[in-house]
Formats: sequence, C-alpha cells, structure tokens
Amino acid sequence: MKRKGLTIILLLLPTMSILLATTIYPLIYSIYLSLGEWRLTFPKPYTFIGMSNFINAFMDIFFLASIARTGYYVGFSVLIECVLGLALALTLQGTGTWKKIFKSIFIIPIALTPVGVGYIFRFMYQADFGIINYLLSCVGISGKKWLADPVLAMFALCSLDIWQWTPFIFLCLLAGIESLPPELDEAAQIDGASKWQLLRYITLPQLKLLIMIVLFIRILWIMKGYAPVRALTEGGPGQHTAVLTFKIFNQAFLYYSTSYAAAQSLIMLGVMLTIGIVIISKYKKYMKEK
Amino acid sequence: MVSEKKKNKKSLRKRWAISGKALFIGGYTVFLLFPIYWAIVTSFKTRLQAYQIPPLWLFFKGTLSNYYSLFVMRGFSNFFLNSFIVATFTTLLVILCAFPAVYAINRFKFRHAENLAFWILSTYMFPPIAIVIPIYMLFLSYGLLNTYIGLILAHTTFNLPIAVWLLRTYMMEIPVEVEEAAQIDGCSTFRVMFKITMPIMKPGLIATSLLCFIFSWNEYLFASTLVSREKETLPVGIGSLWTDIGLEWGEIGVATLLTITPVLIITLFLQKHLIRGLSLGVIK
Repeated sequence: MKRKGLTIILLLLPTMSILLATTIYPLIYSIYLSLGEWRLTFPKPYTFIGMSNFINAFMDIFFLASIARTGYYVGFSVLIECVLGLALALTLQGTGTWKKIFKSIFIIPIALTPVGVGYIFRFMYQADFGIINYLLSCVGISGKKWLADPVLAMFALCSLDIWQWTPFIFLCLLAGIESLPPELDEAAQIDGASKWQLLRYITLPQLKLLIMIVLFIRILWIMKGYAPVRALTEGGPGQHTAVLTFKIFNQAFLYYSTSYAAAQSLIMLGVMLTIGIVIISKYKKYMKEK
Repeated sequence: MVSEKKKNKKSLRKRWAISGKALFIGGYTVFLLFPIYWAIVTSFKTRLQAYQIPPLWLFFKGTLSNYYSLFVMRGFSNFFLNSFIVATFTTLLVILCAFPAVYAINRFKFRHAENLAFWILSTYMFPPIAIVIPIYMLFLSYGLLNTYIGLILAHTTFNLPIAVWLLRTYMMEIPVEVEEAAQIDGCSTFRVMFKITMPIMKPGLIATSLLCFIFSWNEYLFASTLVSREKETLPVGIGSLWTDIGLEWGEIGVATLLTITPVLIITLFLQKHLIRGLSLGVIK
C-alpha cells in the first residue's frame, strides 16, 4: 500500500512540479507584485501600497474601455462564428463524399500560425492597394480605410477570428449533429414538423450542452489571443482595438509599469477562471450524460 | 396530370435549394481559401507588383528574390531551426511528463484523482499574459532569458494541461485487461506503463504530440518576450520583419508561408484528432 502511494507520487511528480512552478508560483508572485509599486526599469525597491493598483485599475477609463472592447470582440466574433458554423453544418450534414471533401478543406485555417494570418489580413486590408478595397471597387463600393477607422479596425480584427475559427465550430457542431439519434427527427417529421421547427425544437436543444462547451472554449481562446491584434492592428487606431491581453502587455513591457500590469492581469485571470469554472461544470455534466 | 405538375414544382424547388446550398458552400470555400492563395501569390511578387492595381492574379512574371533574401539575408533558416528545436523539445518534455501523470490518474484510483485532473485542466484557463510577467522576472533572476530551455519550459506550461486532459481521454478508451494480466505475471508498474500501455496508446500519443508541436510552433507571446534576436522563433521573426523593413509584403508573404506550411501538413494528417484536441476531448 505504501509502495503504491510512492509510485503515484513518482508518476505525478514531473507534471506537478512544472505546473506548480509555472502557474502557482507566478500567481503568488503576481499577487505580491500587484500589491506594491515597482517598475522593471527602475532600480527603486519594491514598496507595499496595498490595493491601490486594483482601485486604480477600476478607475482607469482606458482599462475599463479595454474590458468593454474585449467583450465586444469576443461577443461579435463568437456570435457570427456560431451562426455561420451552424449553417455550414446543417448544409453539409449527411451529404456523403462532399462532406468529407469540405471537412478537409475547412479544417485548413484552424491551426495556422496566428501572427502569419494576422499579417496576411493586414496586407489584404490595406487602404491604398489592398485586395479587399479593390474587390469592393469592382462592385462599385468606394474603398474604406479599414485599419485607420475605429469601427472598421475592430471589424477587421473580428473578421480574422471568424475566418480562422468558424471551421472549428462547424466541425464540432457537425460531429454533434451526426451523433444524435435519428429516431426523434423521424418522429417529428412524421408528425409534420417543418425544417425550421425540427431545428428549433429537436436538434438545437439536444446540442445545447455541446454548443455551450464549444462556445466557452472559444471565448477563452479569443481572450488569450495576443498575436492577431499584434499583427493586424497593433491596438490601433489609437487604442481602439487594444483588447485586454494587448493592453496589459503594453503596460508591462512598453510602459514598464510592472506592478500595475500585474494587478490588471489578475483581474483578467479572475474573469477567465470564472469562465473556466463554467466550462468545467458543463463539461462534467456533458460527460455524465454520455 | 395534376400530380405530375406538383411533382415538377417540388423537384424545381429542390433544385433551387440544392443550388442555393452549393452557392453558399462554394462562396464560403472561396472566402476561406482566398487569404492563403493571396499569401502564396504575393510571395512571388516584386515590391512593385505587390502594390499594383489592378492586382496580378495568377499569371505574371514572378520573382524568387523574396525567398532568397528571406533565407539568406534575414536568417529565416535560423528562425526555422529555432522553432523546430523549441517545438520538438517542448513536445518531448510535455509527453514525458504528461503520460506518467495520466497513467497515475487513470489507473490508480486514488482519492481525488478526478479532482486533480480537473485542477490540471483549470491551469489551462490561466491567461498567458498573467503568467508571462512573473515568468519573465523568474527567468531574469535565474539567467533563463534568451535560452532555449527557458522558452521550452514556458511552452510546456500551456501544453501540459491539454496533453494531460487529452491523453486521459485516449487512455480511457483502451481496456485495462492486458495491463492487469501483465501485472499478475509480475511486471512492475513502470514496465507495464512503458512496454504495454504506451504501444497501445500510440495513436493517441502521436496525435497529442503533434498538437503540442503545433501549439508551440505557433506561440507568439512567450516567444516574443523571453527570447530575442538569434534565438527568435518563426512567429517572432515575422513580427520583427515587419518592424525592420516595413512594407516589403513579398517577404512577409514568404515568411508567413514558411511558418504555416509545416502546420498545414500536420493538420491534414491529424484532422479528426485536431478537433478532438482543440475541443478538449469533447468531440471524439
């Protein structure tokens, strides 16, 4: 019995030590930093200032704006991804060979390097010679200054995420739809349900849990993402696309207000852990149902 | 007669529906592939051609100078090597740590095993930006900044939870009976783990490894803060290319293609496993 315990500890040791060193230690260190005043570039020693950094963060109009911006970025992207992903899944469901082909094509963007994708989009969105403005001019729409306009720049950022991640939602939903038992569908069809009713009252309710999990995973990722913003808009114009991660990064490594950045990152961590707890509880429920 | 008309009408509607569907899927496919096509085409253009309106679509007298200057003058072969080293060793480290941990969690039904697994998963929720500041400070004081080891450790952080979680779902699918038989025959735990479980789990291990490789390969935030110049990985290389030379889009196209091609190839092999990994094992 004692030997068994030892074996377990030995097996878990590498993983646990790395995770403790790279998540728990940073967490404690962040808390320590956030409660003081300290800058990476100043030789001035650390001084304890209590909750000031947190209070400042919640009074900081730019920080609050970046939270709101992140919310918009996440909400808009995920909404479009879901609608489009569902439409694609419903269209391709049960089409045999075609489905296979398109599944292989649609998977392409998912894992592509975000920085690379960001630069491709930046090139396409250029105002003077970008291909998007050219295509718009072909159908008679005058060119827009995509990356110089606050609203359009945000849209450009969302479009990148939509381009890259709609396929993920599509593939998840398709797998979900195909795993559903056909009996319910058939029964409803015999009862004369329309296609819309079938979707609304039969298919979607059964997929609810799956959709929730996939959504939360997506929300988590978008919030973690730094590279797309960095490559496509660099937070601009002005601060109009500076979402949380980007904002905190600049705070830490551009303005070197290290302790303030640590406080902001802890606030963000709080938000994400809340989302994380929701995912995990849904996840447990999903696994139990299966 | 009447029924025939009805039938015709119905088949007409059906035909409309099918062409509508085809249009939708076709349009989406174009939307999806266009940026990649555009990067490829641009990579063969000279500076002037890249700015040309109306644009050059396909048949033009291209140039290979972007490829030449990127590899020879800007050291991208070096960045490629860095990326490869970091991603490979990250993957090895992750699997070597995760596999025994998963074995312990799945096969020894100790108390709180389930909770431990969920705790490990929850570390995946940490935003990298919250970790990167303290890790930077930590590496600064231990001299790990601008080293491969430092970056590999950092990349291990966010890969480990996914790997543990994913391997766990793969291990749940294989039967315990063989292992138990071997145990009765007197094999030690470690022998069973490496000689019996590991070979059976090969597909899952390969899929998880490739996923870790992709994540590490694509990673930007840690790489851009923890290493610089000669240790830079490809994603960071593209970023610095932008600041160094501004609007040389052809070269940025080449750099992007260089970065995404390996991932693209892996993706086409992985397909189902990729989705399984990204959905944390929800989609099988």
